[in-house]
Amino acid sequence: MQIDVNGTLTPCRAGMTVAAALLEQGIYHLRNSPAAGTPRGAFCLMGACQECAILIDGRIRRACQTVVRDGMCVVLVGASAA
Amino acid sequence: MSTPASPCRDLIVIGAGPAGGNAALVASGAGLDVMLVDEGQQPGGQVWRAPAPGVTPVADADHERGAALRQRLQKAAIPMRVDAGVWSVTPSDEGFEVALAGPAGPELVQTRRLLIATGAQERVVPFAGWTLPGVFGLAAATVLLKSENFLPGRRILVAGQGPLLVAVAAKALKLGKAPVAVVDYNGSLDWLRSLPGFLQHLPSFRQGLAWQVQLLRAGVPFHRRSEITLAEPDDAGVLGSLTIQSVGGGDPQRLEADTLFVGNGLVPSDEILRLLGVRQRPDPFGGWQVEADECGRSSVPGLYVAGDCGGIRGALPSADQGERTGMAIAQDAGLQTGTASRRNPWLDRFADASCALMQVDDRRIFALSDDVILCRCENITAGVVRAAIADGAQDANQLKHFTRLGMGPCQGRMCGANAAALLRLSPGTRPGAERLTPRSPLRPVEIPQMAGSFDYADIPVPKPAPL
Repeated sequence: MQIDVNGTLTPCRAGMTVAAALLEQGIYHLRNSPAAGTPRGAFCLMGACQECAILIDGRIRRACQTVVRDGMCVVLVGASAA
Repeated sequence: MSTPASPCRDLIVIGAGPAGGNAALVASGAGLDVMLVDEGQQPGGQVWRAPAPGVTPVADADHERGAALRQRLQKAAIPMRVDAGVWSVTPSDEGFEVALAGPAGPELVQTRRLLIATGAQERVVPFAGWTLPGVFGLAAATVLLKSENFLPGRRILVAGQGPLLVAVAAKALKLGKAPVAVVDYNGSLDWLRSLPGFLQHLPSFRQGLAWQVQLLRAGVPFHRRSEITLAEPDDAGVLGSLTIQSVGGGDPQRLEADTLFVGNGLVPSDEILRLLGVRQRPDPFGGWQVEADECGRSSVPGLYVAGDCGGIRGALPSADQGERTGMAIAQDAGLQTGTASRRNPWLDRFADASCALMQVDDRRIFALSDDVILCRCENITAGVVRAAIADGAQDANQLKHFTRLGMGPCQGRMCGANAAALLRLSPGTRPGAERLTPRSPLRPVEIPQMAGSFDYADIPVPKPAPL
């Protein structure tokens, strides 16, 4: 199973969350703070802090609460997937 | 219309952790028509979180209790809404109306009685650089461990306070990622003071002791009475190093680390309860408790509370509370039930010992330097908050109006407890008004998630009045 992260196909396993899939690949920088422009990443991983709210299949979703789907399109705005 | 009206339930339970899950089982078993709602993919809550599909779980007590709860809920065939966020709860003619946004679209459910069992969220004492990617909550580590049996990073540091510290550090060690250091705000004396309480629940005590011994044997350095004062980025802009300092002062020490798990205890997730106007009282360990009887009856008729959202007690007392509250609800509805188990005083002493280690003195927040960010969403620093208080902001809501603190997507969940501490110690502020008023929508929700899909032709348009 794979998800598309900023155009790069990234391996993952069925049933895991997008946040877990990104962290397993060592991807920490998920977006930039809209207010300060500084890098941000997943923080609480239980749906409260909203730090991992990123574009998933065109909608803003919390990566820690969203389960991966094969071919899912994840966009890390202001962050490179490398 | 978009939001289908379902028949009125006898009981909606919000939160399917130890408290809510057990309450739903008991109430349903007594004959009530129960609906159980949870934001997670599966019941269990945070502490009894289920492993993700295909992941071999660590067979510990939490996993076994969670698996047993999930099995019982499945067998009882209680109607459930998982992956569902509650964004509004309002009093209604029947009792309460609960608005849900979930994968099946929006839903409005009526219920005669409502049980809130939404648990707790983690509190983190801010420090310079705590918004860097690579800094995670301590409880975030337990989420990854329970669901994926995995922790990210190569050089992990574990910091903060409370029993979770040792648990996370030991589990990192077991995964072959021995922490660079464990930075504990508490000293050996604090742990010693909590020892009699921990001895009240021997299985947990033995587990904690075993973890501690494993860490010491592996040579993991412990920094007691110390805290993180600074996180700095590497060239890529993510966490690269951490500065540790002893609480009593002394020379700071800089350590390379790419991953920090840091947490300073728990605060009740009590937004829905406060929205509905329950009476609360100060918790002896800081924060707030809901005023409720032994069986979870709150000051609002028909509204019940169980578990950590009513005051932090931990998983096992929460499970007991859930059972008692489920029984009380069934009895209040006129049904016969068995006799509830008595409140277990040993478990309470154990909880006291844990809570004592997780206390955060307001003065720690008050002492933060001006450049430390309090509100992560809006980047509001301690200095900006102090300036607003000096300008006349006297309570949390005024602070929000003055600065935007608590106005971002987390709705004050990350900054609320810390802003409250600053307000409490600032002269000229209004006592008892240091918390943000919870408002609907209780969580960020998109308009389509509220409205669902509908045909404009189906919207009833009243006939215009005759001219």
